[in-house]
Amino acid sequence: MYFASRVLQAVPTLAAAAVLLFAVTHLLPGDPALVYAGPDATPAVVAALRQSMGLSAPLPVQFVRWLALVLRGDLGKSVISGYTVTGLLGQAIGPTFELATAALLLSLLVGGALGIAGAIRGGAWLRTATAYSSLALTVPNFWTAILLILVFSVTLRWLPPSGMASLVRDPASALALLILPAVTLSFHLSGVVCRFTQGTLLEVLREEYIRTARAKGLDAARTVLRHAMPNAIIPLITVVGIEFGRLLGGVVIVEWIFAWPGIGHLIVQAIGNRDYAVIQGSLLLLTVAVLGVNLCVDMLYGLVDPRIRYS
Amino acid sequence: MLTPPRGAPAGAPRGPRAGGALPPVLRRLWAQPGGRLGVCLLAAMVVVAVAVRADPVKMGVGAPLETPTWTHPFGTDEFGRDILARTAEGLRISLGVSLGAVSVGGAVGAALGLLAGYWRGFADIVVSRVGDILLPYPPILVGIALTAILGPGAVGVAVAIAVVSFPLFLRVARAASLVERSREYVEAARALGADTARILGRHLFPNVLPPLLTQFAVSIAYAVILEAGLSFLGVGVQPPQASLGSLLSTARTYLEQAPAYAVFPGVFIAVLLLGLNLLSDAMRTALDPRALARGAR
Repeated sequence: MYFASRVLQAVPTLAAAAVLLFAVTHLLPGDPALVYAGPDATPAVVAALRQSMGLSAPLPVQFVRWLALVLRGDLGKSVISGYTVTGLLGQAIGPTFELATAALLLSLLVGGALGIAGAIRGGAWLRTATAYSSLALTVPNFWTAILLILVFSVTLRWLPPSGMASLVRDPASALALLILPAVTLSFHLSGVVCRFTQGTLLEVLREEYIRTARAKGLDAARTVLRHAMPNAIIPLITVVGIEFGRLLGGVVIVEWIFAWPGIGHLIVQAIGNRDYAVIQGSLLLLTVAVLGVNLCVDMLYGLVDPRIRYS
Repeated sequence: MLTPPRGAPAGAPRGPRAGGALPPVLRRLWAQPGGRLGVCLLAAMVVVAVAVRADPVKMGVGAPLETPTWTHPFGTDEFGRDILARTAEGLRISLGVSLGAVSVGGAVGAALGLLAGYWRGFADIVVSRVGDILLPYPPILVGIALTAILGPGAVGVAVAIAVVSFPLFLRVARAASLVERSREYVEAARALGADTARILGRHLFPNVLPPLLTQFAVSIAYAVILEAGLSFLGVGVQPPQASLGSLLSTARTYLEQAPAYAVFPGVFIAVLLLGLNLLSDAMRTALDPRALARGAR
């Protein structure tokens, strides 16, 4: 029941996304056929295009037709390259997945470690962890990226500033190229994870069952790993899930800066070319990904904590 | 003794009045080191935005890509324009667009949230659902979609900021209104014959204001990031106008020749955001109703 209602709740959100994305191409100032035909097209060509694009039908009819095409996986063609949008997205999804996964793992590792250290050790560790999370939550990702390039590529010349290589064919270059974008993308999330782990853990460590565990003679490491962390991890899942949506949004800027050939890069290129079918398709894919992640988190949350399913 | 909240109807025991509660809140804000630092950082940004009046679009005031000097403390850009003047203009635009758009989106969201929480029932379900539908989208994607529809420029950015802020205020106002509507002072006002408009405006609103003010500071920070992000991608403020985001975007091309170009506008965004984050944290503490009750005793 809980899972079914969660899935049903995602439907109106997805429908709203579909309407908004339909609007991207169909409510443009001016004639979409003119945009597709390009500035040099003759009136006859534009008129023929209007007919073939079905633009003379009423808007609701156009929306249903568009939706039917989308559901069949037909997102149209790029006006610049002539490739299908589905094909372009298929090429771009791998790099975006690689970058987002690397950033997620990095933020859990760095943010989690700092948060745990701050909560357990206190003192200087706590101050360091607090300062780190404040900084990570303050600095926008495009400036983090520029500063990292300035220090590690321009000044020290340790890492390449942009590009991507295959992890299978050239793992060394691939890792070197992955470091800066992954660190940039993970910085904000690592701050959230750090602040949240620290806060929740500090609260859990005051609970009576922790005192009991300590009184039994368990060492600090086991108390934290076996007793405190499992209880601190439940709220962390929700926060990471919600923030993962923001991370996918961040992909747009980070991929553009580091010339990482993913969906974000595809969107910004399409914005520059006014290639609306590509903008529409990429936004749709990212929206579905964000909603999918939110749904998975809801499900996971229900699985980890049965009280939520029955409330 | 428990003191009734602000806006309590006549006849109820006298508590702190609507106007009288403000100075203690400001005092509590100033008493926190984070609050003081936040206010000072924001004041410094406003001073720069207002005081630097040099022409931001005049070309050739110095050599192209000059390093910082006494005449041009932040250096000059690729057309020999003063980067300090352009950064100040970026700050003015960023603050203006963010304050205006969050105010509009926030006012609509807060009003609907207040009504939804007070009326409950069908109106509440419809309004909350609209808010829930808008909430999960990453702001930058909403911004790209809206600027694609409305065309690149400050207007598209402002609409995007308003659309993104709206559900946040709706949620906060609705939650606060749901709690307050069942309190005794609202029932007392209703028993005394006050109509809905009076209850909402005179009694509920002053009491849901504290969480809304905190949300306002948080949303301004989001708005600054969104404006800079969209301008960075080229769909926000258009040249020759400067935005903190578009300045950084251009500076990226000249990292080797003029590193200062990328550093100063970035420092201004970071200081602005740090100030807003510190202020919203301090406001949360200062406007905490429990702290208010302690202060009123």
